[in-house]
Order: sequence, then structure tokens, then C-alpha cells
Amino acid sequence: MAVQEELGKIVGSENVIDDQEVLEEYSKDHSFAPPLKPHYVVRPKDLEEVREIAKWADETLTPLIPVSSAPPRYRGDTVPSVGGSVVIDLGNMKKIIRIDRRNRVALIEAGVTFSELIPALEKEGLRPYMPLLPRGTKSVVASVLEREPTLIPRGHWDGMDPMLNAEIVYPSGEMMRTGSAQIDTLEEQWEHKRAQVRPWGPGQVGFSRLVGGAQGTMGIVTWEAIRCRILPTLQRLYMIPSADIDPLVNTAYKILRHRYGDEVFFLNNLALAAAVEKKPEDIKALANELPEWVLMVGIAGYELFPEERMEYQEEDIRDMAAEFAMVMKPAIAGAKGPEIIKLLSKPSEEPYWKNRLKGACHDIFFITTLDQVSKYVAIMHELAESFQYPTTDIGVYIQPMTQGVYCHCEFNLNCDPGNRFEMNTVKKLLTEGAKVLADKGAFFSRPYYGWADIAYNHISSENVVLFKKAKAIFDPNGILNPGKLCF
Amino acid sequence: MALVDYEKDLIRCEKCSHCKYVWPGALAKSWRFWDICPSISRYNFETYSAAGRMHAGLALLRGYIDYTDEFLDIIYKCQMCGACDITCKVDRDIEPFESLLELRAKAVEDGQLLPEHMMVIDGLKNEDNMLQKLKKDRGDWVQDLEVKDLTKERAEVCFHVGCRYSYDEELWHTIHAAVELLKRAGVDVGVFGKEENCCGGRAYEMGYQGEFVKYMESNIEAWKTAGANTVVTACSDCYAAFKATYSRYGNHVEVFHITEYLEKLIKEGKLKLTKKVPMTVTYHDPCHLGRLSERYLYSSPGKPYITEETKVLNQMYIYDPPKQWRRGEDGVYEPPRNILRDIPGLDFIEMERIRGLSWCCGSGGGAKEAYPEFALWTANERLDEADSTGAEALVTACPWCVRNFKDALNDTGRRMEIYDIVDIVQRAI
Amino acid sequence: MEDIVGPENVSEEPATLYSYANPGWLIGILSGGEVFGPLPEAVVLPGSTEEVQKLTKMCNRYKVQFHPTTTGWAPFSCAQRGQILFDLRRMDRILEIDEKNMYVVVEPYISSARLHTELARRDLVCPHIAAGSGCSVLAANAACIGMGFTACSMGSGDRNLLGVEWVLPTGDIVRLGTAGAGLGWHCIDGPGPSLKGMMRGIVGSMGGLGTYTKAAIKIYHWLGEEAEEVAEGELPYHILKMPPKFRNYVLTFPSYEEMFECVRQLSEQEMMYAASRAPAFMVATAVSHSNNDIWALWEDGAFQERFMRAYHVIIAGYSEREIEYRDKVLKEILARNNGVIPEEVEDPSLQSGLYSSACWSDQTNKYAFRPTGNFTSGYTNLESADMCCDETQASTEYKRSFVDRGLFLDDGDNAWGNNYEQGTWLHVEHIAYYDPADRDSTLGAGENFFAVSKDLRRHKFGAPFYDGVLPGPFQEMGAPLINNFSKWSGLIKQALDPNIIVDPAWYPPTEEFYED
Repeated sequence: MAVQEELGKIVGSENVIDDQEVLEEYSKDHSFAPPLKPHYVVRPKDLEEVREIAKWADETLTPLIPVSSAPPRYRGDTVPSVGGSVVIDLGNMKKIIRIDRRNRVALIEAGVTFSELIPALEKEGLRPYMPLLPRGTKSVVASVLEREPTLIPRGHWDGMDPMLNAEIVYPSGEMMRTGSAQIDTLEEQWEHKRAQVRPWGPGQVGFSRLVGGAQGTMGIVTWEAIRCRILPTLQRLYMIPSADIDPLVNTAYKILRHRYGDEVFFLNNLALAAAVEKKPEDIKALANELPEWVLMVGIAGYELFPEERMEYQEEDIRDMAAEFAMVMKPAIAGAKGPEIIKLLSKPSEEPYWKNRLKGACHDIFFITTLDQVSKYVAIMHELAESFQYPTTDIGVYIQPMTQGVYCHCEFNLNCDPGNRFEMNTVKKLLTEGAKVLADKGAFFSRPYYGWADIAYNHISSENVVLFKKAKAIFDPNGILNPGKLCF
Repeated sequence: MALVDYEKDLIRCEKCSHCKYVWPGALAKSWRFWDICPSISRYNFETYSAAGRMHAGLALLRGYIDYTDEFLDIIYKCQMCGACDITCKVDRDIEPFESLLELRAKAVEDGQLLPEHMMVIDGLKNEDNMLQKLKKDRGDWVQDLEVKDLTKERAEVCFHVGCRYSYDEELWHTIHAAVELLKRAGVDVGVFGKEENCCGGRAYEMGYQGEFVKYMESNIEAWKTAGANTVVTACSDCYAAFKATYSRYGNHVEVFHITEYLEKLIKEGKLKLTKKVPMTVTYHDPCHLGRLSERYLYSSPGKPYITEETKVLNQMYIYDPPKQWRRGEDGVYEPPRNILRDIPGLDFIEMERIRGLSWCCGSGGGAKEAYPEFALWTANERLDEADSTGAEALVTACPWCVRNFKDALNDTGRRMEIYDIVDIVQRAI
Repeated sequence: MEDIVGPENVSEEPATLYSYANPGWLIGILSGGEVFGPLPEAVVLPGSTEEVQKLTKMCNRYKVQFHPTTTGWAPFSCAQRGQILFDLRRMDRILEIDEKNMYVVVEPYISSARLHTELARRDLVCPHIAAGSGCSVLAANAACIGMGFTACSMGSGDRNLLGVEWVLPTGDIVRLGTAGAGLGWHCIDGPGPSLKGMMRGIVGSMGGLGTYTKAAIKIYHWLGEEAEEVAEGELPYHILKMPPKFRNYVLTFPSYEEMFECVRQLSEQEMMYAASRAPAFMVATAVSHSNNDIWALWEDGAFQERFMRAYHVIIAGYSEREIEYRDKVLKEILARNNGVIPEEVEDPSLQSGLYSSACWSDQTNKYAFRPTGNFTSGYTNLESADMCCDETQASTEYKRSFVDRGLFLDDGDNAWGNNYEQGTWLHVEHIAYYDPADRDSTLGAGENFFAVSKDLRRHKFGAPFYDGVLPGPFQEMGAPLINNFSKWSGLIKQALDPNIIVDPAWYPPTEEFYED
């Protein structure tokens, strides 16, 4: 009880949850992470409360699990891995602190979701750099922090994009503001026309990088300044179809190299069908009509001469595609560009697109280069066959990142949550299959449940030593989300 | 001038490193042929660059360091090719080449002499040549050539042969050809034969400024006596000595390099290039024909530039009167190229480092005398570049270059023909 | 050392040691007006990662400190007293060019200009930093700062760093990211957090965390097609030929506000290839071939009036259609902000000077060192266009106190700056020229360097990025205002280099760090 009182003194007793049903919700998610209840869930409202909670947890050596997205959650990173933990849910920190149209940046607290942010930005003539059809309840801060790929490679300059600045709390209770937010209060900064836009530092440390992709193990982020894009005046989406992915890869290389297009990504027929249709039978029907692969290319016109921008982009991209005998189309069967481009600007409509085919879906994803993608597709198909999983149930999403240097390669394994055999098969594919993929060169840069051991076994031990040293600096008592990475 | 007079330049050098490689970078064409300074390319320590030597010179001036054998190596493992001066002065108003000259002069003045150089200078003092040969043999190259003897007759043009050509029998065919070409074109030309003296240029660049002055004065007197209003030479070292180094002392000599003179004769129609020379060649710009051959326009004995530094806007230093910077742009680059382009059947391909950015042949500054391995290494770097053009022959316009390239070929067994441009012209007549 | 690298690659010769003790920029400021900085004990030239590792282990065994360096443009390249300097000059190869995935793997010594000559054959280019394209690509991106004129289209600094091979202070070798898994060099992040965060923030380790022996750098498409002739005319009067796909503009404005607003609007259109604030003095140096030339331009005051508020922009395009569109947009935005393109811009010498400055970064010496011998900055920041507008003007006012005392060049507003990732943030850096051969001027530059923080604080322009560039103990002076940032870099240093074998000068001390 003393613990509950101590926590109550920090966040108020109403924000310390010990209700078993609530704890049950936090004990699991839609991944295969084994359920484990936390002792408490605390819901701070501001920086000071977060600092006090962190300090308390550090002093009492209590495992602390940062959460900011509302359910449903999918990756296993918010499920406690050890007993006696406390979940710190930043979901109540929902301030959109500032939207700065002039500097194309938004400062948002950790609990702000895509559903909340997108309309607020639109009012100001901005849009976030969107991942592909995120859940509406997903925290934008978490999405960015976890290096989720975004649809516009041209705007992805660096692994941490679109994050510019962040406010981070360490277990010691110390706080860091990164980049140009490092000094003076926010109000003072704004008064002097500073916009929290420079991502580096302070000093010789990349503080943002060390909490990025870390699943809450290296620090708790309370707000982020994220880069936004200008709301297009006009936009169109084109689809470039092909039975074989390689000519599309070559086309994409050309588009990316010359920084054409906005949205540039690949979907296979099933993934595209699931994004467009909502009912399983409609998804299957559309998937059958669609070509095996589609390269999606979005083009936008902005305030100045939008039609002219669209025109030259379209003509040039058409020529680029033609070099590889590929053709741009505004629609293919039931997949229509104008509808899809609208879909891409908002969170997934319900039901969540990945769950539409069979009710559930588990993803395997990793980093590779575009020229390796067809290899991994073949490997994935072989794996599926060896585990007797139907290859026709695999959705594929390939997202070029950092302006095309590497890509996010994702396989969506659709499954029926009521079919135990199928769920077991998918579970094995997720872990054993991931091992095979890693053996063949897949880089699990975001090693969620089932992949951490694989990822750290496939990298040099010297790397692991460095990771542990970093952890020992920022979280010397190891209280932040233990058991998730190599610590 | 002395090294101490360049102290501000030594301080103002801020180690941008442009003295080490082709600069501006946009003019470089490959990773392989990027370097411009043989010294640091070979020895790698910073001190082997112009900047490194300037800073070492500054430390010497301030008494922070003293001479050591290694320091002397550092000073003299440099061909004084002037490439560093060109690349530095693209962006800076400082004098690397002058500083390096004065560092050598200081070393000599301080009695810090390389034994190999001492032998050469002793030879110069005793026999008036830089090859440690006997003076009496200097005129042997004339053989049966019919040409005016300027010790006995007067002529409009003095053809100055130079020490290398005088004593290097393997190269005599070139100067024979040069004389024949001049005569064929009706030029009133004479030679001094065994009475010819060294130009003094190599001694100057080795730091022996006092010796140089003697030879300069002697040569000027000899030309006056012979009535030669024009000096023509086929040796680029001599050309630079007469045109540039003599002008440091206020002496402006009417001198032509053989390539300039042949170009003139060809333009005037006095020589006709009619025979085909079916060969693929590339051309090496000798340092002393190109970037090092510019005159000092306003100078006086002991002061290469008659100008004073002053400051404007508090701290920007300018020169009053404006300094006539020597930056290599008036070097002799076009005449040899024009000649090669005029030769029927000749396919001429440029190397990457050309004109003011030419890579040194390796022979100058006393390097061949004291560090023969370094001289040959430098030549081989250049031969690699010539090879890369696909040319079957390397053409140049200086006997020191020809000699060092030939020695490098002998050393490595590489297949490449080496010619002086005069040889090619002769084939085309 | 001789056993490891060969006797010809080790030197204790005093002349050699002094040649490493004067990197030029800032040294007079940091050494109290002296020309030379600290002298290393010896210099060694390793030729491979293996040799670097052996030398590192040797230093650990004998408890001798060392400092690694490459092209050595700035005082971060100096070793301190008692240290061995690893000069990585012999490690200058391009190891891999991945044209499809747009990255290159290089050794430490290769400069961006040298790299560009090879990349250009494949229609590729690497970013050049403003310090000049003779500087090491690896050092710029991994270990130092790394900001350049093309940052608007090519990013800069560690944002282009995709991989690294790192000999740690203990002598262990680690490759980060995909390279650490033997998968190529394309991604440095993960698994999990990115260890790039331990290497650098706004600035890097300055040689203080061991030796980087390889780096993978992002490269970009080069629109300057290879032509038979890159330039015409003899040095130094050569004219670089503008590639046909480039358009080179100097934009001038009646007010600072209109200038920065124009830049902000251009940034929104994401179409700049290169962009930088072009103070009048910078323009003057770009078209001059000596200080006398600069003075001839400057003397009567008309030139600087003409270019008082000038911004240099290069646009380029893949196709004629793209170039035309961008040209049209630029002119529209220019008109909206009352900007004009002076007719002098057509002068081939100006075109050449500004093109080579922006796309080859080869005018830095002309701009930074020619006028007086050296420069200092310090009034520097990276933030919004609006803040940079204010800081540009405030910095000129601040510099006046040094100009009035005759210590700095009287050149008015010389606030340079550039533009990052299509104007997401801008850079302002006020250039103040001093003469290193004039002791008072040099001491004035030293005074400026530390006083500038006060003025920046007064205006709340933020911490200058030099709070990361100054030696460790000075970082601690600013740290209390900046959430004690130096504590963390000190802890990283301590964790990676517990025996303090690698030069600790650029890292803050912690209690356990120093003996006293």
C-alpha cells in the first residue's frame, strides 16, 4: 500500500490504477508476448510528474514501462517482461503544445494520437509525415520515436526523421531537451522566434538517437517537435503495376534518386486490397484482380503553380517508368488513385486495415535495400510453405527510407485469432522465420517481441557491449522496460 | 629577402592543405592523380608539405627548433617545383615558394649543407657546371655542327645549351636538331660551346644564392659582348633562370624557350611541318617552362617585389603599389601544344595534371642529386599518369625532365618512349 | 610503433612535431595569441585498421595518450602535450561505391573533392562542407561538424552517416548497424537505439572516442554532367563552367526581413540545390584574385550597398521541365518579397565564383583566410529563418565593439549562413576577420570567442553550437544552462575510455576523470 500512496502523492491517487481489469488490459497486447500484469498503472499529466515517477522508480528499483498509445497495441513492447513493474502511461498528456505553420513544425505531447493531430494540423495548413494507415489511437510521438517508416522517402533525411527535438526524462529524474530546444523555456524560445527545429545535440551526444527505437528502455519522451509537410493544394496517386517486383524496384530507384514524387512505396496485391476494401470477400476479390505488385507514387502540387508541378512530375515520372517498360495508372481494377490518396492522409478506418482479412495480423519487418527485396519475398514464401501457411495470405509492404538508401520490408501474416493452429503457425513464423530471415541478411533494427535475441545474436558482440554501456549511463539501475532488448 | 621577411606569411598559413593536391578540386579528374606535391605524397608527414615547411621555418625563426639531419632532409626532399605556390595562391595572398627558397638560403647561410649538394656546388665553382664534369669538355657536344662560335663571332641569337645538354651525350641529338632547325629557318644563331657557363638556376633553388649571382652577372656580360639580343634555350631550367630568377635581381633578359621560338618560326612560315608523325603522345609541362617561368615584374636586387604591405579596413593587408603576383598563369603552356597539334598524323592526348597543375618530373631543386630514389619515384608517378592516357610516348621540353624520365624507365623496365618536343618537330620537317 | 607501421612512418623530429601544432583556424585564439598549439610527443602514420588497432592497444599497454587526425584544418586535429598523434593520411581509399543505394564507404583521409572526382564519373556527388572540399569526408560526418552549402538538398553532418568502423579506445573494433551484422553499410541505426548517438550530437568526438577507420556516407545524384571542359582560362583566373542543369542566382532585398522571408518561402517549395547567405564581403572575395582586388571593389562603398542583403541560391533539375518550373517559382517568390537579381550576377567571374563555392566548396580560403589571414566566428546558431534574421542583424551590431577598437576587419555585416534540409532550419554564422600575425587582433579574436556567448544569451538566441566545439572544461561553463548536457558526454567518454587513453581535451571532466 505504501507504494500506492507514494505514487499517489506524485500523480494524485485517482491516477494510480490498481483495478485488476485495467491491469489485465495492460498485461497483454496483440503480439505473442506472454501476458504479465503490472502492479500499477500511473497516468502523469506533465513533465514534473513524469520526473518524479522516474526518480521514484529508480530509487525503489521498480521496473517502469512507458506507454503512450491507446490500445489496441501490437508490438509487445509495452507488455511487462518482469514482475513487479509499474506502467507509466503518458496517454493523458495530450497537449498539442504548438503548431507552427511558418516553420512547418508541431510540438506535441506523448499522448497525442494521429486521430487528434491530423485535423489540428490541417486547420493550420500542415500534415504530418504519415506512416501507412496508422491506428487512430497510436501515439504520434511513439510512432516517430520507434522509427516507424513514413510514406515520403524524399522527406526522410535521417533515421530519426521526422523527429526534430524532444524532451526526455531519465530514471534519475534528470531531463534533457534536445537540439535547439536545449536552452531557455519554450515560451522564451517562441518569443525570440525559435522554433525547435534543429535536431542536433546538445553537445557531442545524440540524445534523440539513443532513445529512438529503444522501446522505452533508454528514456521517457514527454514531447517531440516533429517536422510537418505543407498541406497539398492538389494531389494524385498513381499506381505502377507489375507481375514482377524487379522492374518496379528499378523504377523506384530512379524516382528516388532524382527526388521525385511524394509518397513512394510498394504494396502487393493483398496489402493494397486490404487497404482499399473492408470486407474479407471484397479484399480477396480485389486481390485477385490486382497485379502481383504495385508501386504507389503520390504527386502533389502546393500553393504556387500546383498544376504545373503536378504536370512536370507526372511527365517525368512517366518517362522514368517507361525506361523499365512500366506504366503509371490512375486506377487498377477497384483500386482508385483519388480514393487511396485520401486514405493515406488519415489513420486507418475501422476495422484496422491489417485485421480486415482474417481478424488478426502479425508482421515481420526488417531493414534491407531495395535490390534485395525480391530475395526476401522468395524466402518468405519458402518459409510460409515450409510452415504450411498460405502464401496468398501474406501482405507485403515495402517502404523506401532515408531517400532510398534502405527500405523497410514488411510481411503481414493474416490470421484468424480463433484458429489456434493458424495462430501457432504464425507464431512460429514470427520467431523461427525471423531467424531464417536474419541468417539471410535481414536486419531487425526494431527488434520487437521474439526478435531481440535474434537481432543481438546477429550483430557483433562489440555492438552489444556498447549498447549495454549506453544503457548503464542513462539507466544505470536498469529500471526502464527491462527484458526488451539486450538489457 | 630573407626567411624572416616572410614571417607574416608563415603565420598566416593556416594549413588548408591545398598545397598538397590539385586545387581547385573541380579541376581534378580522378582519385589516382589527385596529388600535386611529390614530397608529401612520398613521405606523408605534414612537414613535407609547403605548409609544414613554412611552420617548421617559423619554429626555426623563433628558436623553437634547431637543425638536425632529419630537418635538412625535410627541407631538401622537395623539388622546388612550385605546384604548392600555384594551388595556394588561387585563394591566398601569401608566398609559399618564396618562403621555401629563403628557408634553403637560410640553411646554407647557417652552414647547414647537404654533402651531396656541397659536391655539386664545388663542381660548379671549379668547373662552371652542375654535373661535376670538366669545363673543358663542355663544348664537346658541338662536334661537327656548323654553328657560330660566340667567343669569336657575334650573332643575333645566342642558343644557350645548358649543363645537362652539354654533358649528357645521350641527349645531344636534341640540341643538334634544335640548332639545325634554327639554321634551317635562317636564324642568325651562335653558341658559346665550352665557354658557356651555367645559368645558376639550380644552384639558386638549392639555396646557394651567392653562387647564382656570380653566374647571372657573368652570363649577362657574355651576351652583351657577343651582341646577342636574344637568348634561346631548349632547357627549361635555364629558361626559368634567365626569365624569372634573373628578373628577381632587376635583370630582364630577352629569352625564348625553343618551343616559343619554333612556334614563332612555324607561324612565320620559316619552318614547315609536312611529314607525318604517326604516334600517340602526351605532353608533360616542365615546371620551369610553365608555372616557374614568370618574370618578377617589379623587383630589385634582394627584393623580388617592390611593394609594401599596408592595411585597410583595420586588418585587411594589401600591397602598395599592388603586388604583381606570380601565379603561373603566364607560363609557357600553349606554344608546345600548338606545335604538337600542328604536326601531321600526331595524336595528342592530355594528361590530367597539366599546365600550372603539372606534376613535377622529379628532378629539380637538388632532389636528383641528393635523393635519387625520390626523384625516380616522382618520375614514375608521372609515367603512371602518362600510361593512363594510352599514349605510346611522353613528350616534354626540358632535358632534366627527359633524363629523369629515362632513368625511371631504365629503373622499372616500363615501356614508354620519351622525347623532347624538338625531336618530334625534326621528324615532321 | 616502428614495429607496427615501419620506421619510415614514425617521427619524433621537432620540425615535424611543430608542423602538426599549427592547424590554423582558432589555434591563436585557443592558445592565447601563440602561433603554435600543443606539441605532440611523436607522430605515427598507420596504414590500416589493423595498424590503428595495434597502436591503440600499444597506447593502452604503455598508458600513453593519443589523438587521431586526418586533414587537420582545425584545432580539433591537434594532439595535446605528451600525446602521440595518429595521422591517418595513409588511409585514403574509396572502398565501395553503391550507386543504386546511394552510399559510399571511405577511409579517413579522403577529402570530399577527391571523392567527388570519382563519384562524378557515375553522376554522383557527396556533400562538401563549408570548411572546404579539401577536408576529410569521414571526419566531417563522423567526428567533427560537417555543415555545407548544399545542406538544403543533401543534408549534412551525421545525418549522412550510414555506417562506421570504429577502433574504440580499448583497441576493440566495432562496426555499427548493418555493417556490424556483416550486411553492408546502409543503416547505422539499431538494433534498438542508434549508437550513432554516442558518437556525436551537433559536433562529434573530435578524436576523443577512438579512431574511425571507415565510414559510410550518403551520396546524391550529381546534375553536373561530365563535360570535356570543366573550366577555361588559367589559374587563378579560371572560370568554372556552370553545368547546363544549374541556375545560379544572387538575390538581393531591400530589408533583412524580406530576404529571410523569401528564403523561408523558397524552402517550403523544396527546390533549392544549394543556398547560403552571401554577405557582400563574401561576394567580393568570390570575384577577386587578391586583397587589392577586394579593396578596389570595396573602397567606394557602392559594391557593399549593392549586395548588402544578398542570398545565393542555386536551383537545378533533372529535366528541363523541372528546371523551368523551379525557375518560375523562384522568380515569383522573389517578386513577392521585393527581391531583385542584380545584373552583375551574369558576370562569368561571379557565376564561377559562387557556383564553385556552393557546389565544390572551394572558395572557403578566399572568403575565410585571404583578407586578413584568419577568421573567427562564434556568433552562430542554427534555427528558424526568423531567428536567423534577427541574429544576423544583432551579430553585426555586436561585432562593432571589436571593429571600433581596430581588432577586426571593418566589413559591416558579414553574417554567412546556410540552409538545411530544404530550410527546416537555417544557419547563421558571423565571420569576423583578424590577423594572426597581429597579436592584439588575435587576442581580440580570443576575447570574442568567449564573450559571444553572453550576447547570444542576452538575446536568447540559444546556445551557440560552439558550446559543443570548445574544449571539455569550457563546455562545463555552459552546461548548467543546458540541462547539464556535458555530464552525459563525460559519462560516455568515461565508459568508452576508462583509462583515458584517447585525448580527453574535447570532453568535459567528471569527478573521476581527472586526478586533480
